[in-house]
Amino acid sequence: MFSYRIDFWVQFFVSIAVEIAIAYFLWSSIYSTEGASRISGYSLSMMILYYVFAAFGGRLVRGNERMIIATDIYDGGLTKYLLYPVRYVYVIGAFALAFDTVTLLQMAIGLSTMFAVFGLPAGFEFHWMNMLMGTTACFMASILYFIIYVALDFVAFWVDTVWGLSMMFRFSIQFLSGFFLPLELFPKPLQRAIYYTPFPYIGAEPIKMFLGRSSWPQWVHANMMVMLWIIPMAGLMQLLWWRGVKNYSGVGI
Amino acid sequence: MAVIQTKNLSKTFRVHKKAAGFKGSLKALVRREWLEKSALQNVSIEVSSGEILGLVGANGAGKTTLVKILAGIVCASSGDVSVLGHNPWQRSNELRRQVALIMGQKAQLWWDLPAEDCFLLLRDIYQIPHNQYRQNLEFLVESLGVQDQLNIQIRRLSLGERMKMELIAALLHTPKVVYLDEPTIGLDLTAQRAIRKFILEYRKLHKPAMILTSHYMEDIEQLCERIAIIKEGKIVYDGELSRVVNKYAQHKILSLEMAGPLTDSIRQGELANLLKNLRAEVLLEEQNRVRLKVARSDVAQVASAVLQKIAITDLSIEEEDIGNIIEKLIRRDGVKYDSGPAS
Repeated sequence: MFSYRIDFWVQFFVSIAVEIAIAYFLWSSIYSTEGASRISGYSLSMMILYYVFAAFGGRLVRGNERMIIATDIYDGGLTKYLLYPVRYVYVIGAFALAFDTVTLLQMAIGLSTMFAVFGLPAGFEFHWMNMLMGTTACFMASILYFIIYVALDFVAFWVDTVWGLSMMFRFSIQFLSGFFLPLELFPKPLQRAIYYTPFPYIGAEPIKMFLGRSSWPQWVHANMMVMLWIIPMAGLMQLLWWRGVKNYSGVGI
Repeated sequence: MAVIQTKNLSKTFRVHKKAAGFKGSLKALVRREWLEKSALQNVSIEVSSGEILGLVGANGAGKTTLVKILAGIVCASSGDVSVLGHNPWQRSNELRRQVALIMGQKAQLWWDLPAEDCFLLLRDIYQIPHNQYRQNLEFLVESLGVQDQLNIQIRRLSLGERMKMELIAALLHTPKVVYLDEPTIGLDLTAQRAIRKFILEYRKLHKPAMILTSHYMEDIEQLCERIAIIKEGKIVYDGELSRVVNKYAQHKILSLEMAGPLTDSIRQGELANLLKNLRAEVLLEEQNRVRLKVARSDVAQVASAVLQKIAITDLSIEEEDIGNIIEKLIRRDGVKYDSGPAS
């Protein structure tokens, strides 16, 4: 994980800083064009802060999305994990956990630097409890996201390229989770429909916790919903593994 | 007692066919044609503890598929397979802790990590006790002479060094079953020799049941007493390596050391007369040496004629190169194979 020092810092600055910069320029222009001080309850500074937490929280939840499972299936990298006395999904899970640990470190460095340089945005009060609620909710959400991601990559057992399918699903999940836009900006009926899915608990809800817009009962509710969704998704993932590994031909050896 | 056992093992792969060109690609997008490809047909083999079975065959013959099935990577279509009393496809941890697969063509170690970090990771995966890990690592590192490369990233090692690290990684947990799939491929002669020597030492010490696939006949000759020749998914010969020579070698090589230089008069006179009525052919002529390829049944007759008619200082009779014999067996169609009893 720490083998590539340049990659560590480039990943951090490029992906996070660019995401936040885009949000800043876009929303500044929208607020000034509209002449509005608030949109769906968000002031400009709170809107930018939403994207700051979406960028950091998103990295924590989504982890390393480099399709390593599909690649392992396509180039035969899975073979060694079939030989080792360990479950493949646990190995990938350990990699994801290592990635999340690094992200947490980056998040702490990034947020403290940002708050030290720019100060706290107007209307935002920093509370350790909110950070704890947001981080734990992100961690729970990352388990659910991980299971969905693994299940999607297991499709590679049947199809020769899973990239298009995976990108489509990931884009949809991120859109419906509120990583691209706060869910409050969506039409009300769509918002209601989205809350029947696990997606708001992956993005929008943890972000609201960071922003101090959630209470402990909402934290409990969000985590319960994530756990409820983890059970069927884990079942689906396991089923895809059992069926898929029979199709594996161990190419490359 | 056999450690590895297969009975009537068969494997069929389903692959899709695509007609050439853009039109073919469009057609495949809508409707795919599938082809059933038989990789193994009724393969029955047995390997005992301390034995190295050489699996020999041309590319695509089914050697690697058989190894993959035995290692639990691929599921067999039909037949029985047992490794240490387990079905490898069930991949029980108990079995996986006793098996190793070394693939010359596929790196198993983590490229971004130094070798020693990879070994530590494997120690935890295989749950090797710390003392045993330390002892095994010391023995393996010393035997293969890679002490100075342990803390270098795998991606920065040479092919030979990487292969040695792969061997260490695979044998750290002292497996009872070892599959070696072309372990010396692409290596220089020194590295090949070192690996062969190490495999023999390891076998002597731990007596695992081993299956070796290799296209290098030197690997087979030096490591295996028994071979199985696999052709188009079928075992066509399973028996002692020495038996292949006795059974299938059609010629012997006669080497003659002439008393004087090999002149044109000897070449066109005595030698030409000698060969005229015998089934022998000249393989090599140089200064005072001649090598003749002689039908096995005619060896005595040719040797006696040489001694009578040509002034020589030395005569030796050698077997035909075993690699050539096996290669002929693998390539030739219509060869009548005769499998010996499994040793």
